[in-house]
Amino acid sequence: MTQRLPDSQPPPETPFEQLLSEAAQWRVRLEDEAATDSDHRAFKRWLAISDSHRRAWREIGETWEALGGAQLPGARAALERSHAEERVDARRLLRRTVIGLAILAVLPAAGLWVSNTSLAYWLADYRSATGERRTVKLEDGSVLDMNTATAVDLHFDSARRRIALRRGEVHLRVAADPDRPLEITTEAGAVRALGTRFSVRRLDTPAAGSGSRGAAMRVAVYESHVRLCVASGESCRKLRRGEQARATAADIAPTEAMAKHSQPAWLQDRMDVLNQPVIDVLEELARYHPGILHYDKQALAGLRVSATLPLDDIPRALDALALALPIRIQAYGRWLLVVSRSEIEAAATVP
Amino acid sequence: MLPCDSASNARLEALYLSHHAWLRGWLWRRLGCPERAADFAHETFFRVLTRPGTETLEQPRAFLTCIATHLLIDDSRRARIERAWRETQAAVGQVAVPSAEQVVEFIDALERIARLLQGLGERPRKALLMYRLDGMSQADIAAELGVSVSMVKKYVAQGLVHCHRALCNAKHNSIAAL
Repeated sequence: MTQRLPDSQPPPETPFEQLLSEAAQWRVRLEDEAATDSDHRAFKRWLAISDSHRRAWREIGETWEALGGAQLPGARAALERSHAEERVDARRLLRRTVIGLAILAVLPAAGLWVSNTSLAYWLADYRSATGERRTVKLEDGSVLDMNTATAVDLHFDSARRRIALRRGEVHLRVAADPDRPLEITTEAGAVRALGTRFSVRRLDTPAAGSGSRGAAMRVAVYESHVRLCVASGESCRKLRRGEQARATAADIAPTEAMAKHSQPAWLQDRMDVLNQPVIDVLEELARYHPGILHYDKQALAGLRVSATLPLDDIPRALDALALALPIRIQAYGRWLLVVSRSEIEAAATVP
Repeated sequence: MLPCDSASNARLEALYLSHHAWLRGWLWRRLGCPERAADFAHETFFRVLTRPGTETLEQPRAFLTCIATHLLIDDSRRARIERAWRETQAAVGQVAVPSAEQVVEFIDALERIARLLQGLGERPRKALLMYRLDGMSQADIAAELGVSVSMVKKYVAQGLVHCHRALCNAKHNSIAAL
């Protein structure tokens, strides 16, 4: 047995993903005719560590079973053959899909989605393009930073200052004015401040398949405090410096503490990623890419990454990810970026 | 879960009425066969209507074509596997002929496996198949692939984790994202 396997007690909270990997290694090791009694004893110790270990073992066993049921002669040959054909087809299909995707992306944009966000976007008082970051100084002295693909309308009068966030994300440095409270609104609710710094992001879900089309937003406070009230009026909460919360029109999720930052990273065209699923990271990067960023969620599921990525150069951000992960980036012109899982196997899943 | 309040039923009906003919046309153009297009359109709507939350789609046509495309891909994969298997059988001249049901079951199983393996690297994929389907020993696989036995173990374990993930994903989203 040359392979090193974990048989000592791991720290109490081993990530389940790693337990699965360990369970798979055990399965393979014990299946081998060369497995010894001491292998079995070591396995028993591993299994006894926690319920999670036993669950990982069971789930890998189920996977093992799922791969069975086709042990007729010729099964592997048929799979290999159809796989080889599929790769050829996939290349052909991709060429067609490039066009198909572009149409898919344009059609909904031109048709249905326009009705609720894009029109508002084009008619808004201020807007930033996808991939653009803008800073606007408002008449009252407040400074509004707009992140990618953002649109706002201003309603300022002698009694109040209201900013309607139509799309995207803003960070606001509010000029104090005790007579005129400042409020940022979305369909999900309103954030009211006197003098403070905070950011608001709309969490729209235009993607089909998500089902509910509830408006939602995320509020993060960098200085002083704000008052967040949901649109239904049923719930309000004070958020302090260093706190953030997600709200829908109906309620506010529990307040979360932010990592120590005095301002959002996007203000410096940067994204900080700490052990996040790569598909979440790609979803976020896609917000900044004016074209299409296409990736196969299934193939990339389970990959996690920590990195600091540039937001003003998405191809470079993807290259940085490709250095750390078994993924491959293909660019088709400037607009279509395709991220797929590469075939460099070794380091990927076994931590 | 079928939505059962009348408002969402009305929306589903509207979805069907406004897009069914269009989708059939779209499939017809792709397949060049009206009967198969009708079958696929039917299957697509069946998937959509039995999926919760779809009565409030904002981009119904994009969503429908996404599901239809997946059905087409699944279908062509299945056909490809079946053809590949039959050709392999013909080439080796098999002894016992399985019944039609057995063949259907067998092709189903192969297709499920092919789907789980999607996205797995070449070597882990080969190692896993040799090990699980052919029952080859780890030493024989090592010789065949020209790597060490411990590398074979690593490949097979990696393949198992990959398939576990694919199984989970399949359970969580019955329709994979495009």
